[in-house]
Amino acid sequence: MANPLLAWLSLPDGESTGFLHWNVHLYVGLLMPLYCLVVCGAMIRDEVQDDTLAFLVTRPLTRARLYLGKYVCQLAWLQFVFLVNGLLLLGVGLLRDIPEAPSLAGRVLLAGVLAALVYGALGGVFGLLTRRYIVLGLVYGFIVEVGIGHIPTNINSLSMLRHLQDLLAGHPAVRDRYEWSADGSGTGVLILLGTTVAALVLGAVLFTWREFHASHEALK
Amino acid sequence: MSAIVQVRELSRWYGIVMGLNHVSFEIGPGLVGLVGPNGAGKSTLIQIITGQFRPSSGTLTVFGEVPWNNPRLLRRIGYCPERESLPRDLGPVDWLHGLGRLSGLRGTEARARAERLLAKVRLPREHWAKRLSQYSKGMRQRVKLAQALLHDPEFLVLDEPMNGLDPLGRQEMAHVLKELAAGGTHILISSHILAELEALCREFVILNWGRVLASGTRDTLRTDVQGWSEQLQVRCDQPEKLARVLFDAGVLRGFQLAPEGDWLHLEVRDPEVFYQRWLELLLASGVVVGEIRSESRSLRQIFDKVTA
Amino acid sequence: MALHDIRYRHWKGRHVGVWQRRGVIAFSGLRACLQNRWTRYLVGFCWLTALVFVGVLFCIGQLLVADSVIVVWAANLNPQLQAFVKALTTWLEQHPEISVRVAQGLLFYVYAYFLITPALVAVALAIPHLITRDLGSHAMVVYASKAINRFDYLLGKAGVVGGLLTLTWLGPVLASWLLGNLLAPNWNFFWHSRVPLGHAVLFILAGMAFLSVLALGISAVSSREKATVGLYVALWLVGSTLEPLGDMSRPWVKQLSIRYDLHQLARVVFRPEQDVRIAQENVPIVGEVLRGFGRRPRAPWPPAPAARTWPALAIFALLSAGIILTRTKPE
Repeated sequence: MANPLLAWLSLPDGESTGFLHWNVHLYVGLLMPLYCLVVCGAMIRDEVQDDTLAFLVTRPLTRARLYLGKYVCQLAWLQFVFLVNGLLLLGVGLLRDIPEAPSLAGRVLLAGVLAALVYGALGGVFGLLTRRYIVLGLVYGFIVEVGIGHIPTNINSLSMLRHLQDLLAGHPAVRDRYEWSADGSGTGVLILLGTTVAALVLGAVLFTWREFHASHEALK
Repeated sequence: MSAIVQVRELSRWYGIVMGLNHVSFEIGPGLVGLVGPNGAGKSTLIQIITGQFRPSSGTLTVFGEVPWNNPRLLRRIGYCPERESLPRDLGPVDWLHGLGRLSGLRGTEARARAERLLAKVRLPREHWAKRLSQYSKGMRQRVKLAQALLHDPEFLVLDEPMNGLDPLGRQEMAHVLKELAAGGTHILISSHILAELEALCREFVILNWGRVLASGTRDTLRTDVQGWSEQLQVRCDQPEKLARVLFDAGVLRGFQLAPEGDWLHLEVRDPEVFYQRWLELLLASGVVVGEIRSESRSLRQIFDKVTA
Repeated sequence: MALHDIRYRHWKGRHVGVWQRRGVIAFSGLRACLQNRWTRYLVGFCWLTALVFVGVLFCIGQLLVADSVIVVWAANLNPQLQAFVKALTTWLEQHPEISVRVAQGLLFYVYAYFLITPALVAVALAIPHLITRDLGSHAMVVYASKAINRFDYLLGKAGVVGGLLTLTWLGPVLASWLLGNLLAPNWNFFWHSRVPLGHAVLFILAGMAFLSVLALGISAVSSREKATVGLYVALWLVGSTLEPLGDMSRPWVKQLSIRYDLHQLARVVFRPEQDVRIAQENVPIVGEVLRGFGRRPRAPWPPAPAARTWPALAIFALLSAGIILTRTKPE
C-alpha cells in the first residue's frame, strides 16, 4: 500500500511522464516481480525452514497436487494485492489529473494478472531450488530481465518483462514515450502463459522428487 | 495378522553419514515401541515410513506399499513429528481444519472432527482461541497428536510424543493411545522414556548406530539376547552364606555383596535351572530372605544390554 | 552436606570493562559474518581493488614528475609531444600542492564512491547477524541476563557493521593511500595528499555511521531473515528505480535512494567540482581542455544539494533508530 501512497506524494498534478515511469518501470518492472518472488519463493521454503513441511507431505495427496495447491493460494493473494494496488494507482492518476490514467489502468491490471502468474511460478521454482531464492531471483533478474531482455539478441524473448512491456505498449502514451512496439503483445501473452505452465510443471516435478531437510536450512 | 511394516536391507545415508545401515525387520500390529539413543536412526526410519524420505537402498513397505508420494497409503497413516514447530499465526481449530481439508474431508466435517479431536486429546477448550505460537510444549504435543488422527488412520506413527508433557499429561496421552490401540489402530511410538514405553507397548524395535539390534516382544528379546543373564537383588540376613551356597551349586555366573551389608546382587547363569533349584537351595542355606527384586525384565535393562 | 546453597551468588572473580564486553559482541558478530564464504570473497574483492587502485596511484604519481619512466616513454612515442610533456610535467612537479591534491582528490572521490556498492552488499550479508537472529532465537533474553544494557548491546552490534565496513571500505582506502604514496616519486606526496585522505576518511566514517544505524534498524524489523534482507534489497532497488523519477516529479523522490544519498554525501565532502575548477584555473594547457567542458550546454558538475542530503540521511537514521529502540525493548 506504500506504492500508491508514495506515488500520490511524489507526483505533481498533470505529470504524465512521471506517472508512466512509476507504472511501467517501478510498479510493473520492479515491484511486481520482486513481490511475486518473495511470496511464491517462500511458499515451500518457509514450510521447510519452519520445519512444518512434514504436516503437509504426510497428507493423503500427491506432492504435485500439494505444490499446485500452494501456488493457487499464493496466486489468489498476489492477484488481490495487484488488483487493489492497480485500482489505487488509478485513483492516484485521477487525483493528479493524469489524462492517461483511466486508459492505462486496464493494461496495468492485466499486466498484474500475467505477472503474478509467471513470476509466481518462477518464484516457486527458485524457492524449491535454493534457500537463497531471493539472491537467485535477483541474479535471474539482472541477467535475464535486465541483461538479455534489453540487448537485441535472438533469445531476448526469455525476458518476461519484455512481454509485459509489449502489453503495456498497446497504450499509445507508453508506446510514444518509450518507443516500444506492441506488435508482439499477442505472442507475448502466449509466451507468458507458456512459461507459467512450464515453470509449474518443473516445480511440481522438483517437489515430487526432491527431499527437503529442515536441518539443512540453517543460514550461515 | 501380517506385518504392518516390512523392511528389507534398508539403508539411508545423508552424504557420508549413515542414518540406517542395511537393516531388515518387520513391525507387527498393535502398539510397538521404537527404542534407541539419539542418532540411532529412529527419526530416519519414521520419516521413511511416512513418505518424507526415500531409502538410499533396499525397500520399506507399509501395508505392502511404498510410502513415497503415495496418497492411497498415506490415507491409512497418521504421523506426529518430534519437532515442536507449528504454524505461528493460526489457532488449533483453523490449522486442523486446513489439514483436514487437505486430507480430503469436507469443510464442516473437517471442523467438527478438529473440535472432536482437540477434546479427545484433552486440550482445554479455553485455549482453542489462542494462536499456536502461544502454546506450551505439552499443548503443542496434544495438537500434534490431534492432527495425526484427523483422517482416522489405521496406522499411527508417533515420534517422541511424550516430550514436554508433565506426568499427568503423559498419563493422559498413554490413556488416549491405549484407547486407540484397543479400537484397532496400530501404533508405532518412539520414545526416550523407556518406562512409559514399556507400560504401553507389546513389542519393541531397538536401534543403535543405524542398525536394528533387536526386535520382538520383551520376553522374546530377553530369551534371544546372547549371553543374557537374569539379575536378582536379594535382601537377607546372611548374604555371604547365601552367595556361597548358590555359587557352590553352580547356578550363578557371579555375585556382588552390597556395601550396606544386607543386599546381595546375583547374576544367574541359566534362569530355568536357577528357578527350579532356588527354593531347595534357599531352604538348605537356612538364610532368612527379606526381599527379592528382579531387574532383568525391565526394558531399560534389555536396552542397556543390547546397546552396550 | 544434604542441602546445597542455591541462592543467588555474586560473581567474585575479576570483571572486565564494558568496552571489552561490547567488543565481544562486535567480534563474535564479525566472526559469524566472515563464516559466510560470500562475505569473505567480497572482502577479498575489495582488497583486490585496493591493489588495482595502488597501481593507478603509482602511474598517476609517475606522470607528475618530469623524468619518470612513464613520462619519458610517453614523450618518446612522438617527438612533437616531448616539448609539451616536458613543460607540463615540469609545472606539475613544481606545484605539487595543486597536482597531487587535485589528482588524488578526484581519484579518492571515485574510489571511495566505487566501494559503496561492495559495502552495501556486505551490509546485506551482515543484516541477519545483527538483530534478526537474536529476535528469532530469543537471544535477547540471554543478553538481558548478562552484565550489559541495551545500549551496550546495540553498540556491539553497530561494531559488527563497523568492522565489516572497515574491511570492505575504510581499510582498502587507507591502505591504498598509504601504499600509493609509498610508491610515489616524492615523500611530499604524503603531505600534499592529506586533504584527499581527510575527505575520504570523513566521508567513509559518516557513511559507516549512517549505514550502521540503517542496517541495525532494518535488521530489527523482523525476526525472519528473508524479511529483513528482502526489505534492505527492496529499499536499495526501489530507491535506484526512483532516482530517475526525481527529474520527472518532485526532486525529493531522488532522496529515497540510499545510494543517491551516499553519492551526494561524497560530493558534499570531496567537492570534486572544486578540484576540477582548481585544475581548470591553474594547470597550463590541461586547464584549457578542462575549461572546454564548462562551455557545454549541461554543466558536468552541478553543486551537490547538501541542503537535501543531510536531512534525507537524518530521516533514514531517525526512522531506523525508532525501529531499533522499539524492537529491542527489554520485556
